[in-house]
Amino acid sequence: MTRAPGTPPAFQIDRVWKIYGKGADALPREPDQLPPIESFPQIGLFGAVIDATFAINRGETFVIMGLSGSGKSTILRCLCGLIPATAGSILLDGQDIIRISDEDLRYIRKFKVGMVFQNYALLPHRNVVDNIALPLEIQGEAEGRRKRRALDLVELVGLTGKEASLPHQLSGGQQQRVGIARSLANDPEIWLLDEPFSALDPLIRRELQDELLRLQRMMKKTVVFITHDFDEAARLGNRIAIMRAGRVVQIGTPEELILSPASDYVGKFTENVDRSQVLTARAIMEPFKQAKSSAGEISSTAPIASFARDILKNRQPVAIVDDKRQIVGEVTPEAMLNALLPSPIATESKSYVELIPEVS
Amino acid sequence: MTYGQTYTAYRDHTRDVYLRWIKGRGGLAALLVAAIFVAATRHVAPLMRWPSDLTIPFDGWLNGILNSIAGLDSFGGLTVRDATRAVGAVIAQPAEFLRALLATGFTRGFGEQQVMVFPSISWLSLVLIIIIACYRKGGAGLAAFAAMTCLYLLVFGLWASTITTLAQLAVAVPLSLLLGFSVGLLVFRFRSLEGVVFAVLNQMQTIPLFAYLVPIIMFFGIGTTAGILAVVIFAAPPMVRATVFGLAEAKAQYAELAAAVGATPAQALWKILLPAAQTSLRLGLNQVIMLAFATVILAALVGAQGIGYEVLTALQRLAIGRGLVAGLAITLTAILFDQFLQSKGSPRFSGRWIIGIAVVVTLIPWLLSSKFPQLDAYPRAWTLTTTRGIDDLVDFIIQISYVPISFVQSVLVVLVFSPLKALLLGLPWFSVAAGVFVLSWKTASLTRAFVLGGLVALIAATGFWDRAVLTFYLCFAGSIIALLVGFPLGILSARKPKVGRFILPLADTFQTLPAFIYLIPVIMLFGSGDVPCIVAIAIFAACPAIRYTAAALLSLPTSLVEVGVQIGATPWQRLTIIELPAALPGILLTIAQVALMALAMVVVTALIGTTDLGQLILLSISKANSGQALMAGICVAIIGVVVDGLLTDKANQINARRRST
Repeated sequence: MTRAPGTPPAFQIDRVWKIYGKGADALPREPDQLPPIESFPQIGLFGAVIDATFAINRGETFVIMGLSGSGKSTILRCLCGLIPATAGSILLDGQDIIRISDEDLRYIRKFKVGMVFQNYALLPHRNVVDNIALPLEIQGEAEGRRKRRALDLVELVGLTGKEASLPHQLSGGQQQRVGIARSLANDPEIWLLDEPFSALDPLIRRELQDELLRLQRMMKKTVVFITHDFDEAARLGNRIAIMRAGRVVQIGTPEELILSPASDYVGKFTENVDRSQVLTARAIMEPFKQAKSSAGEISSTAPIASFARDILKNRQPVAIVDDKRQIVGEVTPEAMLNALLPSPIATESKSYVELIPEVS
Repeated sequence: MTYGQTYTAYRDHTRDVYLRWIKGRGGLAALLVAAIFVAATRHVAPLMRWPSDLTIPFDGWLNGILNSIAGLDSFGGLTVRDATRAVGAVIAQPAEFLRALLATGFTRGFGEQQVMVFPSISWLSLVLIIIIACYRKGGAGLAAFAAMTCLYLLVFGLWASTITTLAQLAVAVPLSLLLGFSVGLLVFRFRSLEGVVFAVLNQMQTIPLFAYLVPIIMFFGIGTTAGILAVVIFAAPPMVRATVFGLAEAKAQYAELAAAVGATPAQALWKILLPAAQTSLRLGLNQVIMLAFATVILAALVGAQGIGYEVLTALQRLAIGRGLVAGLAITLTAILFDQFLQSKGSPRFSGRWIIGIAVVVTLIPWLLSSKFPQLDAYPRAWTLTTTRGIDDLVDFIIQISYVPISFVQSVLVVLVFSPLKALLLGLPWFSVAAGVFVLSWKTASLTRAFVLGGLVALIAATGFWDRAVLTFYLCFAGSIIALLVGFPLGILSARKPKVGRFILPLADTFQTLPAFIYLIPVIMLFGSGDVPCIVAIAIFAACPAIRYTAAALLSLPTSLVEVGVQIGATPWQRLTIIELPAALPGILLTIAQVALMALAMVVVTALIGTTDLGQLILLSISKANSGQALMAGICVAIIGVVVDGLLTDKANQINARRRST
């Protein structure tokens, strides 16, 4: 999703570093004044997030993915100040998260940001409604109002009938629905989700992904979603940032990452993706030359899987139209096959193990 | 092969065989060296016993310090002692009030002139309230047990004493909770305090309760207050630990959530962390109550009235029948408490109902009591004032058991206990300190060796060495018997869940009983001397032996047990080749725990006549010698620290080695 000109991004992350180790707290806030990264091992420092720069647009779902230890959870926590970043700046509504007072930061978390945790973090002694109402209680909302809001959210996430259950009486999927409802209780602009579905089994995970898509279509929040699963990232994300050993190595739409990976590391991530489901007509089309209208028209946002059979049957290029039915290009059978069956990655022998960053 | 080569090979081979022999008998060699060392030091008088003119008068110093604190001018001509006694009087007030309200009624004047100002709540109301509360929390079974207990207490005329004890608990428990919780919060807030506070708490609980009593009396006077304060000192530490542990655990899980929803530190603590820590806090509460109950019994020694006093006077008069009756009363009450706290059944009826029922149940007998005086105070005519039947039974048991038991007793004393005692008393203090030093150096570090060895030397320097050796002897003999009983039962409980379901709760129940009451049956059967003490210690320490052994085996990974079965090992092979060696660190901790429990009991056995540190503390109580009581108490604590330290260090060493490979 490209940003409409004029609207500022929700988050502007500029040269952000998170450094751990001896004396890391005393390091300067300016990225230029940090010691050179080559010297880190000698002086006992470790860069968990290294010089990250990107913007997250309003209303988009921005996925950050990488292997464990790549810094993806750390950067998410830097966004809301749960972990204070070492250097750089993180602008949210013109305020720099790294430099604002504790009071302002608390205000932002109370009213602007909601967060979902991988391990749910539900309070064991509170029932579903009281767990969901916790952020409102912290805001100082009156009991009647927070209860009403919590009940609305119970319905929203499909837990009607479970209002009075305690967390241990719920399945994992239901518990995370409570976590989702709680994160939405303060109606946040920014919705942070830290590997919310990683602990769930595949069927439930799929179900909750659909749930998330449904909620996001209704609410259009700015979502930052952490995962290590490219299929999940491709299903949910408008754009995906791939991290490796603390660095953001590539940012792009799922199609861009699949069709032009910046490195073998990115390539390995996208290797086993079901391309026919992720790639759309727009991603593989060529300039319009000769397609006959008899071969039909295809919407530019349709995934390959929806028209592959027709193209192969007719063995003809097909015209691609945008949502105003203007022809914007064509897809040839060859282009489609090339996209679906890419030439193998040059470094076939490289295994995942070699690509996993060394984490000390 | 040339002759030279053959010779070299032969020489190397002999050397290897020789070395292997030495290595295989390393323990033997060490023992030999130790024996020679002991024999040598025995002939050096100052190393055998600390020279008496060099004894360091710690007890005198302590007395001096305490006296000067007590005599300090606090304000307006009042000394610290006056101030603390005033505070003490205030602390006792709520307990006295409750006692009057629940059992004795409010009176004015003394002796003949005593007049009832206001009657107490009817005993019937109280019984009904207890039964209803038990029914609400634990169901019909618990209610029936409560009814039986109340009936027992009433019939044997122990109702008023029991209520008195409960009234003291009603003050001591909230005080312990408040103190424990506040200290816990403080430690949680300032984590740097943790090491110091926990070290102090550990020591506080190893020093026997008796040792605290004398200085407490000095500052707060004899009677109920001293009893309550002694209980608070003893019962507060588990609450500190529960608070810190619960909050730390909650913080690990929910600190991010608290930050993410923008909670202030106060909101995070009160709305998120404390409620999340409630399981741990509730466990702490239970521990406090059970510990307070166990110690409030002992408070009888400083003149606190109550059910413990009944047992103490019975013990002193050797009225075994009466002692048994009172002891059983304590046992029943303790079990009732324990079961009430353990049961977590859902409440049978709602809060509003319970209040209504309580009001009705309380008011009606009270109002009727003017017409039926029987409801006011439980009529004396309805009690069993004599314990003749029981006394006869006791006599009968003593008669039939006398011959076999005294035979076993004599054999044990002649063959085992006397030689052991002589052996331990014959050890020079220097050899013991050196032995502890070497062992500790091998298992832990040089610093640790200096600390533990130094502590042993400290006991010698106080001049209490012989008493300390006797304390260790009783503790050692009791622990060995406890382990001989506990290991097989613990292993059985771990192996056979059906047996375990029966034995383990029983062991837990025995554990909750006040140490005091084990003395009564033991005196009955064994008379006086070392044997009854050792038996009482063994019974008391056998419970943790069973519990911890079972736990050590049950905590082994299932795969380890499965491997044994899979390779076709017999149950005995599995136990000896796989499970016991794997559980060795846990077994060592079991032994340490048993030793600590035995040590706690040793001091209590002083009540039936020993000549060890425990007796010295009892003597100090009667002579109001605070310094001596404290110092003797500290010596007991040192024994605990050294024994526990050596065993835990060894367990840690084994664990560390296993992890590193």
